[in-house]
Amino acid sequence: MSGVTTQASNASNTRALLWNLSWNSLTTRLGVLFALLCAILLATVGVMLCHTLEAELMSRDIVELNLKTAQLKEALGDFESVAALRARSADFFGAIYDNHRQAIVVADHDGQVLLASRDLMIPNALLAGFIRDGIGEPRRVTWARGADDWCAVFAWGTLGGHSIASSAAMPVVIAVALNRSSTNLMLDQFYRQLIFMLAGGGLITAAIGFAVAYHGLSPLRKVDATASAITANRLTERLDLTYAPDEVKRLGESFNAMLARLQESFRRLTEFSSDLAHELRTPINNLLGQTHVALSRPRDPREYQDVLESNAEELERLRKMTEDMLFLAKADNPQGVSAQLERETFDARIELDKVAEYFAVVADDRRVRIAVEGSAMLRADRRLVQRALNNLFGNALQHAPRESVVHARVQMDHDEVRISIANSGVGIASEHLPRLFDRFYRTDPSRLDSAESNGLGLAIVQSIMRTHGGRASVASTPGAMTTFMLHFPAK
Amino acid sequence: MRVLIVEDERKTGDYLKKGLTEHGYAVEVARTGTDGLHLAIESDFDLILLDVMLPGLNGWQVLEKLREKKETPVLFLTARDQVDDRVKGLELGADDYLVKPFAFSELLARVRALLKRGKMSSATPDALSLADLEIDPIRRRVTRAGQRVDLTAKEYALLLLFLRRQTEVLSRTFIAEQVWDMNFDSDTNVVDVAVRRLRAKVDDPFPQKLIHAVRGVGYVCEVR
Repeated sequence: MSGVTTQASNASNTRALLWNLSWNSLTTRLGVLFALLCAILLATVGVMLCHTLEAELMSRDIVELNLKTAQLKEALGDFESVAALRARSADFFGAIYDNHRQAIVVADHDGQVLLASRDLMIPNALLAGFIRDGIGEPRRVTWARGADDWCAVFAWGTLGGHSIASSAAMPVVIAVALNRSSTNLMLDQFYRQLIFMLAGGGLITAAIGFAVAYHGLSPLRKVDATASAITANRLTERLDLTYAPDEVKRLGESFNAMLARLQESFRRLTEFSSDLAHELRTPINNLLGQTHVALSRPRDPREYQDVLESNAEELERLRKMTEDMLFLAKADNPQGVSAQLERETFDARIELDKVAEYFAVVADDRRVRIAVEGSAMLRADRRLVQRALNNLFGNALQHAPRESVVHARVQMDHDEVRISIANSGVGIASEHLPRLFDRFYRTDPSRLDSAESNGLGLAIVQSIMRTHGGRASVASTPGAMTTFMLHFPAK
Repeated sequence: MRVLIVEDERKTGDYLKKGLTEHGYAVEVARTGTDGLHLAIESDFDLILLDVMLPGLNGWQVLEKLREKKETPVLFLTARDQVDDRVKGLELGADDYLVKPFAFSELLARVRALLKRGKMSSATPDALSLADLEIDPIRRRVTRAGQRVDLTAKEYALLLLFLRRQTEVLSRTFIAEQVWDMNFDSDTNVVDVAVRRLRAKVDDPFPQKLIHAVRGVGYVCEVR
């Protein structure tokens, strides 16, 4: 059982990894970028290290050469003749620690070698060139011969300069040379090691980069996995953001909020569809039943007429409902309605009075007084405002007790025009208030026979307000007062 | 009065024909746009009821082709309620527009209005009396059997509407629109209450009733 799970999760890990190796993946990009940066950094450091080392070694060699040359020039004065020099060559050369590395040659001004610590094959051209240029400053030269790489200083010295008989003094050329091949070998080895180290370091940092990027982006993969698991039936799914880094947390929170909104919309939609089916069932059931019963045997015209009249009433109800549904559907389509709004500027009081007058007979019948007050200019679709007011007045009058007053008020309140319609009465329990503007929502589910209201009136009011960029609200004190308010943004 | 109905829905066509025939119109029905256009051009009708969704030519195409030859008034019937559709229909030269589902009384009212307009208003002066009920529009006085009846302003407007449209069945929506300028279907029973009050003053004290409820449809004012 667990083996199967492990296998499956391994397979999915591999897939995720493969998916991550494409150039479009952030992991690849971050990993490659990281490796590239490290490689550049290491290479720069390496090159600089080599240069410094090479220059340092070179300068040491030059110091050694110069020192030796100066010593030899000084010593040269003590020897009166070439013969003396040759006889006491060991004294002259002094300490040569490494004969292979260091070599000393003394030549006369014709380029003839008078004395050599070892057989040093100085290229003739170099020595001849130095002699041709005449007595002057020491010169540094380099040449290669076979595996050996020589660096030398040529300098003029005077043989027998210290003796009294200065006539015997003779200018000679001293060549002090250093074989740098071992230094080069060492440098080569150092370079090779450095390249290996750089390559190895680059690979390791690249691997670390990939690992860090892969691990760092794992919250994103989690988001991906959750998102792909979400279907209409699984909108309850949410991302666990407890350990997510801040960036992903914000993304995840937006994602979760979106899911919540979707879930809510979906819930409303589903509920709406089932409510709709339910609402349609009653009139259709009545129509079918009455018609079938009427047709089951011959009847006199009076009875047929009765059935037809009853059918007409039911059908009128259905017609009204489809019309309201269409209105709501159109209002839900944002471009649909705002484009269709026929906005004009008018005093909201005029429409309030008009609708109040329309309801005057009903109010009078119920011994309810309608009191209208206030005034404010409104920019809105007159017919829609009328319709919203109509629904609210109808509602208020239906619930207002006899001998009471329905207060309608319009007022400008800094950033909004507010129309309120208030009636006294039993009021609405607070648990119903948030859903009062939902379609088909009824505070009393058993009251389904209401021919006057199809449960869409307040939803339409809210729709109308939304298309105007405003909103409808309700406040109720059970047993005292219920107030519906329309808030229009003042522009 | 000859009316042509172009409607592919069999039941709709049938009941429209029946209803209009019973109200004294000579009615013909075409089931496709092509047939409808042919009939409309070949013979003279006073009014055409045109469905938008039709097999063959659709309603707009029929109207466009018809307008090249004739100016017969056209009333569009459609299940689509989009402003674009409405504007398109009216731009093409339709005279009115009715969205399904509609009440038959509503259709009848519009048909009558269009025919009146088509005839450049033959100006049959609105009869302002029925049986022993009389209205003096200048002094705004109403008498029944010689007795003065006191009405409120809205009751007066309502009665005036009934008398002007006597024998027509008026829907509640139509009455609300005409008397109170409420331009939408109202859920409320305002019209019923208003009519009840009017009847209490105009009909109840007298043996002959003039305002009758037509259940499921609306009200009609006539001598029965």
